[in-house]
Amino acid sequence: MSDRTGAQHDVGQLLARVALRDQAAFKQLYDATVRCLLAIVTRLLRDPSWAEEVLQEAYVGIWNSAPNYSPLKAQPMTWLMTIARHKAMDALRSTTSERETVVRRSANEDDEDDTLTRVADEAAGPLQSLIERIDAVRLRHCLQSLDPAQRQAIALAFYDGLTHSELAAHMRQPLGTVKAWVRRGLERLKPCLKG
Amino acid sequence: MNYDRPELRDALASEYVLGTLHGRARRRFERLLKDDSKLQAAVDFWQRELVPMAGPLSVAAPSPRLWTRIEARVKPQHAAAQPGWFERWFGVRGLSGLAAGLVLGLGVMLIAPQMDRTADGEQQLPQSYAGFLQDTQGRPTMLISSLRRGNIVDIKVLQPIELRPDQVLQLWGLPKEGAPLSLGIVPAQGKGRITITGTSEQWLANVPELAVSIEDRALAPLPAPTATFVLRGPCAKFW
Repeated sequence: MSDRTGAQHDVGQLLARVALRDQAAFKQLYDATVRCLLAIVTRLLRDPSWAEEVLQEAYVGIWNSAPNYSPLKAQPMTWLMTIARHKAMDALRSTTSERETVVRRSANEDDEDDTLTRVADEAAGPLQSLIERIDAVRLRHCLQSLDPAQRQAIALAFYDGLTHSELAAHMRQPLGTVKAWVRRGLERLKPCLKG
Repeated sequence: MNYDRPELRDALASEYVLGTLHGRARRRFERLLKDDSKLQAAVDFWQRELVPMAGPLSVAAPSPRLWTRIEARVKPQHAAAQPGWFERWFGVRGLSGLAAGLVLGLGVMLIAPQMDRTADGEQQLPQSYAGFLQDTQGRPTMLISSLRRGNIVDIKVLQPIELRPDQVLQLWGLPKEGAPLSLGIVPAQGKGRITITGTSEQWLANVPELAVSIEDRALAPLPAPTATFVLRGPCAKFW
């Protein structure tokens, strides 16, 4: 992977030029960030053409808001990802049509293993590898320190945009249980993130 | 529900950023967010700390068609259908004829009390610098004026700018070459004045553009802008 610190610095510089209405810089910013922002939006919305529509809104929003961006507020890439995520969440949460929920089945369908084992199996899957690749050291460490069920619920909500109901269906738990996993997980993250 | 409790604020803010707040609760939260600075601070924290979870995500680049559509939407607006005289003073920016006339009128009113009389009794505006700043949507937002040999810069805000209590606006001259020059702190609404050292000619003779940034109240005025510009516009000689 290329030097992330260097890349972040470039994004910040490009963003500053975009704020001054430098269209060439905006294209460079787009090229440097579209694969990440598209990934965020596609993962949440599932439908590729819907994702492209929303991503269009995100980049127009980035252009319009760039003059209001302050490096004191957030890292440049975080700011961009926040905008993309927010647009996708708006689209997802405003829609009346239900997005198709993909319910993954564990390897041993007939296995009567308890819940935590099943969750632990899943935790070893793709979401866990994503978490391991998070650049922000403290965030990565804090997520790793959660109970597997809490981490899984938070990761599914964050990356895949699952609602509490969808989490309950996916993790095969009562609604109250998954709500508590999310709530407790976030409560534990806060003091850890504050360092 | 009492939103004053920090634990509740935090619970809602974190679930809002995570995405598990939805439906009516989400809409109600967004309404509250508009005016509640503590709630905004809570959301700021979670966005800053949690959103980097998305860092490792990546896919193949989309079709070139997407960029084409984005580019078309951010293209600069066409020149105002306005007499060339206005464009000569204030350059090409998307301004409706009515707004342009209004702004010019306001600009003249601002410096009218100082009308001079020439030798044959005709009124004329004293030699001045005039600046006209717009926001990123092209809305006229701030008028600046200063007598050529004067050391006072007058500011008039046409539409109020929203600031947090810990923020101020700082005015900058953007010279043809070199770094922005700080002119001082300006108000976010109403009128104001800045006293500069030296004459405005010394400051503005080679400054074709002015800009305003939002800065930390405790640190401003700063020698260089730390934030990007929220207002920007031409500065012209009125003689």
